[in-house]
Amino acid sequence: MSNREWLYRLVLHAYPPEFRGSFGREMLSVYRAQHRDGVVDIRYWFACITDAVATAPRLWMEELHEGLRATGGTMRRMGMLAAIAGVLETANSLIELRASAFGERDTVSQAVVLLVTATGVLLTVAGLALLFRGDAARRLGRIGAAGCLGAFSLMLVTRPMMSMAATGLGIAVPLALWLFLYVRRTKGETRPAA
Amino acid sequence: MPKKQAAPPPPESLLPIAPATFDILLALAGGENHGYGIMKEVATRTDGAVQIGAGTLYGALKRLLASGVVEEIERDDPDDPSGRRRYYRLTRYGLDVARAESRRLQKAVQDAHQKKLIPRRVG
Repeated sequence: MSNREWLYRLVLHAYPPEFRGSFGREMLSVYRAQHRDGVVDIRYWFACITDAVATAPRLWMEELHEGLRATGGTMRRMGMLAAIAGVLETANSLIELRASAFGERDTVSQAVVLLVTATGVLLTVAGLALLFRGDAARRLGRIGAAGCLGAFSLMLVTRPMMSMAATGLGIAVPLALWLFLYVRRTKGETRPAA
Repeated sequence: MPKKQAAPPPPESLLPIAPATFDILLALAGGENHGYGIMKEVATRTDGAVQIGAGTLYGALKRLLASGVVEEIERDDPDDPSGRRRYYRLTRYGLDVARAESRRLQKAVQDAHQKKLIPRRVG
């Protein structure tokens, strides 16, 4: 009988990727050994496909569950990072606002600083919401991150001498948060159903 | 400082074990074995009545490895084209789990005797 290894490889695709990564090569070597032993016939293929249909859904479920559990941990860390960044950003912009009150009055700059204060508060709330997870928290996180990015870009234009720390805090953190939430959303949409 | 490992749950908490998984534990109770060896051992012991598929075997092994019942070792194997093969063996905890499941099944058989579902002596 000809070696139908391609068919076995096709059946292996019924299993989730992580499981295939851990055991796929070994399953293939079992198939080769069974082929050498001459047990691969029509009944074998029937049993093989039945076995895949019976076992693959549970393995998909387990992999999905493990993935969600891992995401939960990352989400909590991102939430904490966003909340801390939000508090620091709010404090930083409040200091800026207080300092500008003593100097030359510049309405546009003051408005931008106020905007940054508001987005700092928004980022803090988004971070805290992410700690409790849920779709609404993710949406709020994306809005907070995008708002922060917009406000800091405006601030960079009006106040180009802003410190490196403030720039990093106001742009890098919300950008990382926004990208993280965007990637999670895209992955969630494309992940096959278990 | 090394991370303190959490104590495994009591063996009884993993019971009852699925029949195919118990067959795998029985195969490994005789000593370490590779995947295909386990499949052949189960088929031989049950006179071909139980044929474990590769998906069932490796799905069960994945869970047994995760719960610390089984551990894997890689060994040289001239029969394998790669020259290396993964072998599986019961851990001390795994042996306790297999014993606990055996006792549970023994009790079930005793109950079956009492209810006269099966004769007290066979053969």
